[in-house]
Amino acid sequence: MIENMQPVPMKATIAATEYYLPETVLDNDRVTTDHAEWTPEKIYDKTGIRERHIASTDECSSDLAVLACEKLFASGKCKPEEIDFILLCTQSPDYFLPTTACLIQHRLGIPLSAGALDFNLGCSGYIFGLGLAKGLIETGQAQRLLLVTSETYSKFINDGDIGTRSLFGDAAAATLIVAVEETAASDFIGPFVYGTDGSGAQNLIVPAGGMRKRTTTGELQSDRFGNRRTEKDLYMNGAEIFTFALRTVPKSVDQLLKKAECSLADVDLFVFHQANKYMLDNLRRKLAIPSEKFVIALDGCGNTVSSTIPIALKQAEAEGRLHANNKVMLVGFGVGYSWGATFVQWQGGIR
Amino acid sequence: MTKADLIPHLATTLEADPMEFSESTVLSDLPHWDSMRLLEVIVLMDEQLGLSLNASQLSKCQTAGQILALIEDKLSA
Repeated sequence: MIENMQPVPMKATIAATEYYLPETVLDNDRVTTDHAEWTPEKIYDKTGIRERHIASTDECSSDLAVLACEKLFASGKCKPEEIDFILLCTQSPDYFLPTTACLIQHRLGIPLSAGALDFNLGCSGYIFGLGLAKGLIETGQAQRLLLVTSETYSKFINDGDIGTRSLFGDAAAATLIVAVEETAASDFIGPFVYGTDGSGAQNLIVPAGGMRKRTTTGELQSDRFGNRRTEKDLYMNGAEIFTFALRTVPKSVDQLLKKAECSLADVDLFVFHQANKYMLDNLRRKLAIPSEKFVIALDGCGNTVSSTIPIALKQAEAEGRLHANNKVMLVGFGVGYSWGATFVQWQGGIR
Repeated sequence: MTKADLIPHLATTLEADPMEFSESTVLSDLPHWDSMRLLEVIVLMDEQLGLSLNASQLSKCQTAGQILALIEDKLSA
């Protein structure tokens, strides 16, 4: 040390979160058009989803991200000029390059001195983003960081594939993570449990469009349930993803509880990735979590990939289910396979 | 649980008419057959028998009998 003063140890905490949903709404009536075996009621009953929001043709991930961040700035919680790092999670970037986080730095007027990077994860992305943010802040590399999740999966989805079309919606969320002076209390974010299993890559995939297979004939293929898609569209093996989640999520929850040295009863609220209501109900039953402590928030937006957790946090707070200092368990899981779990001590609303 | 015990459970899960449901029932002929039914079979086996069925093997089943054979394999393993 040049000076004799020790720096005050800093801790990362979530200070605020906002989200943006595109204007166009896709309801269950439209999802079930041309699919005689499905009714709007049946879709709602199984998925818990009434409608999803879909980005317009010229609306990309950076556009949704900018709108979510502008809501955060408008709330008065922070100003663009205070931001010193942007972490942006997307699998549907505007371009192969440049980095979407660089596009939004410029559009939001965030200082040139800020760091910015994209990371490519799906439904586990928010947990990994919190882990990265904590690392950057608690090592003194950042003080006021934006964790942005933004997806336009609808651009990967074929209208003929009711399996994916009924589940996924477009959205972006912006979470402000700030450094606060360490107190005697425990961490505001953490500990973390992470997991990765690339053997499941083929079960949730957009097979063509990347470098492995840049172009295809665009031929429509039908599966045994009558879903139609091309190789440029999102493919999901629902049964495989479902069994992956049933197998992995309860284990991660146990590992996190052990690591945090607490029990299920010590947790005030559980916010899992909002895959669909059927999966969430099964996970909740398997883990014996009381329904009043378990958030389901996909009715009006569907599965928005890496934005489901911040959207659910925001909705839970608005409904009066999430309060300052609540101990909240967050679990993300999906494409990769990739999964992660952590705790946050809720500090939403601090400046 | 024997195969005979399993048949009514499977019929309920698949929303099939129990009078007409047998090992030779072709799944895609069932009026309520869709991708969600596979998940419901997985949940049934997980909750009733503590069995984790292999999703890719289950996805390949064409008849009720093939699902029952998968379950029997798991039970005897």
